Amino acid sequence: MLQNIRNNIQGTAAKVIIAIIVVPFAFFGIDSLFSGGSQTPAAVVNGEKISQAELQQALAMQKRRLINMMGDKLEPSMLDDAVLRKPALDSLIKQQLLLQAAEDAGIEITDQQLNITIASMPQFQEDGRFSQERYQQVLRLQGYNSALFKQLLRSDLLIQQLSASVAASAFVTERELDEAIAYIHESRDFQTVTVPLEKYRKSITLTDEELKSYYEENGARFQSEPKVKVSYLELKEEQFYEPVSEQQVVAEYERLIEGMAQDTEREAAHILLEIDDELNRDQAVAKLNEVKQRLLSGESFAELAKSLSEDPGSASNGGNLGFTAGDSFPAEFEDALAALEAGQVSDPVETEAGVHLIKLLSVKQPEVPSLESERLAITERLRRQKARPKLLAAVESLRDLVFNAESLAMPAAELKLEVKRSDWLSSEDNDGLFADQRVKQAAFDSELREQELNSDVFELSPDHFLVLHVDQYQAPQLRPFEDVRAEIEVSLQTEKAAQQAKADAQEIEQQLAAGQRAEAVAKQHGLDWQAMQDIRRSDISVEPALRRFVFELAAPAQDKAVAATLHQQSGDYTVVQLLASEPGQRAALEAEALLNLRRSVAQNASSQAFANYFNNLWNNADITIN
Amino acid sequence: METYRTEEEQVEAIKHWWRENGKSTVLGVAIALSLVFGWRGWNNYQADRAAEASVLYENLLQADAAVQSNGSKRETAEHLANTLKDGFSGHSYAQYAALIQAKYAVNDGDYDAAEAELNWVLAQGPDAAIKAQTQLRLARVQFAKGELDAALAIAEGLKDGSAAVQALELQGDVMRAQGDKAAALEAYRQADAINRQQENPLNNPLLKMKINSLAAEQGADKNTTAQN
Repeated sequence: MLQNIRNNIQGTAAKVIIAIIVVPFAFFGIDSLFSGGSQTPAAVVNGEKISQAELQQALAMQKRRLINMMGDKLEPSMLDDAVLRKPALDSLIKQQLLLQAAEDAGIEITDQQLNITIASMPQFQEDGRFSQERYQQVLRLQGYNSALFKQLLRSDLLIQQLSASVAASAFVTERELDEAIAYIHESRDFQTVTVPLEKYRKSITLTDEELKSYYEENGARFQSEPKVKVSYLELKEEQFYEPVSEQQVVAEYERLIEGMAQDTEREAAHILLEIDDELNRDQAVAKLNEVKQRLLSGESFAELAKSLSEDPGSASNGGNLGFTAGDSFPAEFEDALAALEAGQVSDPVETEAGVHLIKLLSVKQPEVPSLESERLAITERLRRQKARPKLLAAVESLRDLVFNAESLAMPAAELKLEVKRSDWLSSEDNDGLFADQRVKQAAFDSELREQELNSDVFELSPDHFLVLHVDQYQAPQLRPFEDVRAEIEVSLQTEKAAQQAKADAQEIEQQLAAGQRAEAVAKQHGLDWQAMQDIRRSDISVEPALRRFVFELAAPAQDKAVAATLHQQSGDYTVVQLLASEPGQRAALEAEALLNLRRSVAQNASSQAFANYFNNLWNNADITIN
Repeated sequence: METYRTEEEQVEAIKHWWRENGKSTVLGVAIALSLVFGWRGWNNYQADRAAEASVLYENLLQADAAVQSNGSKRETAEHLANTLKDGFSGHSYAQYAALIQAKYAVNDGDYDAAEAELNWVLAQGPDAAIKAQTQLRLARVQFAKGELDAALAIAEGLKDGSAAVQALELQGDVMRAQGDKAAALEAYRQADAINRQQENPLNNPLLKMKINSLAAEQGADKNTTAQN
């Protein structure tokens, strides 16, 4: 098309076409012609895309946060994309939704507001003032660049202003406050009679016939666990260990210390002359040669560096540059330094910075361990290094062999392994062979058992492999009566005690509902009773289950007690006689309690208002997740 | 397209075309440019105004935080709110400012003033979500004033919309005050049911207390022998 346009540039039509292209280009930039990528977005919210790149960025940030937060306790599975993706995308969608609402509402955050906010954030301050250096440093640590950080902060501020619209303006009327007080500070008077299961259990005697008939009727409950005997082959790394020769150990040791030599660190000092209009290269070299003569005649390097060196960072420090491991300075510099003996000064050396005189102040040699101290570790390492490929090769052939064989005998013979046999193993066992759940599963796998197949080869640890074959299987059986007698006794006692306790509790409830006094009723049944006065919903002197139960009862009418029975988790019954219920009164509250309540009710109203606002956006949004 | 034999003919044709269409072309371009620049100028102006309002609102929120925590800066807050209402009406920030004014009026117990502020917000034509919240607040203020029927009428209109959960709870409150406990319980239960379906359910222990209390009173859900 461009060729055509050039050919017909004289044509009016072409001018119009150019005008059409040029005008939007000039005003709106090149993006207006080529907008939008071709990749499928992660989600689309009301027509606006959330790109895969944005999602990846959010994921990366979330991972960094997790790593910072959890440190060593972090499990790798927590960083799994499959786990993190949905919540990350979810929060991006919600953020996008709120940002759209903010835009629709005409909410704006200026650069100035942004800067003021940043300057006031304590994490960017030093001695109470904003520090640009610290700002950059903190951002780098968190993995943001400044533009991204500002963009995220702007989003936060936009959403803050938007949510404040309904949240900061939420209120509570006096009527609502009175209502809340009536419920939250409601107090109740009640009495309880407790019917403990244990008391009944003791008095129950059971005959042998009862026990036996229970045993016969409930056979399914008294089955033994299934058991197996297995044979198995093991491959361990140590089976492939071979002696390591002295020669090999020495060679490895030498390789080791050679590597260490590279870790030598040298402490350097220099006198630098910069090459500029006043001083050309040759002049600088000449001047430094002069300086070197002065050094040779006994003048101090440090003093001369102080007075002559044009490196302001080191001059005052006698030219000292600290230690280098061979990669801190330009190559020319490092080479010259490495060629020096300690205390020696180089000839003038030129680098990008200028011309240097270099002095080697000291050499830090890494401590070289003796062969004797390393012998054991080296021998062990060499042994393992050599055994490993053999082990893996053996595992491979074992896999092939057991897959085709009917038992373990042939693979064992082929690989010269010993077939080991286990004793009876129960499905309840979790140690020994069954410490690995996969092994246990295979041992009780009905398919392996019935078709007499070998199991897979399991990797118990990187240097330990195992394959098994089920030899014998014992199905669950009815355990003999004598073995389970004690168990049956306990179950039957509990069952009977519960029946008696329930019957008593029902009788007590009726008595209490009829208005009898709890004390008298408790005495009659030989039970304990308690009276509770003025109990609130939040009163921790009453255990939570009972408190919740009492406050779920209907308030008693005048002079008419309400009775109900709570079946506790322990199996005990607590019969409650609710005598009175008094709604909370504002006048009865202390000033501070009232203030706190007002605050918490207002807080609740505020978060409700925002939740409502958000739900409205959500319910009306058009959201596609890819 | 016509073809021309020589350069001169082409130049002549262009001159001719220019004589005929020159004026209208210049005019058209001028109008187009002024539209573009005018639109951009208007947008910039709007953005500047919004920026100004944003700073005022930010200050208002800070002053309001002081009002909430210790009662200071009330005058500053009122002044900022009035500036927003007077100078930026038609902008969302003005509505937000009036909502905060309404809160102060409620806290002062001046329900008439609160109603006036809320009605002012409604008169500005707020977006749907703000409108629903504002209407709901209006109904709550009326309930506080004892105007039960008026409150009920507004709540009735809101219970299918975005403020349904709160509207239904209010409806329950009003009905209970009117003595119709069965209808109140029904409204509370509906509020609870709708709330559970929301993406972001409200945590409202008070609503549960209200339901429990009414349900027990009516003997519904009564379970005298066991608790799950």
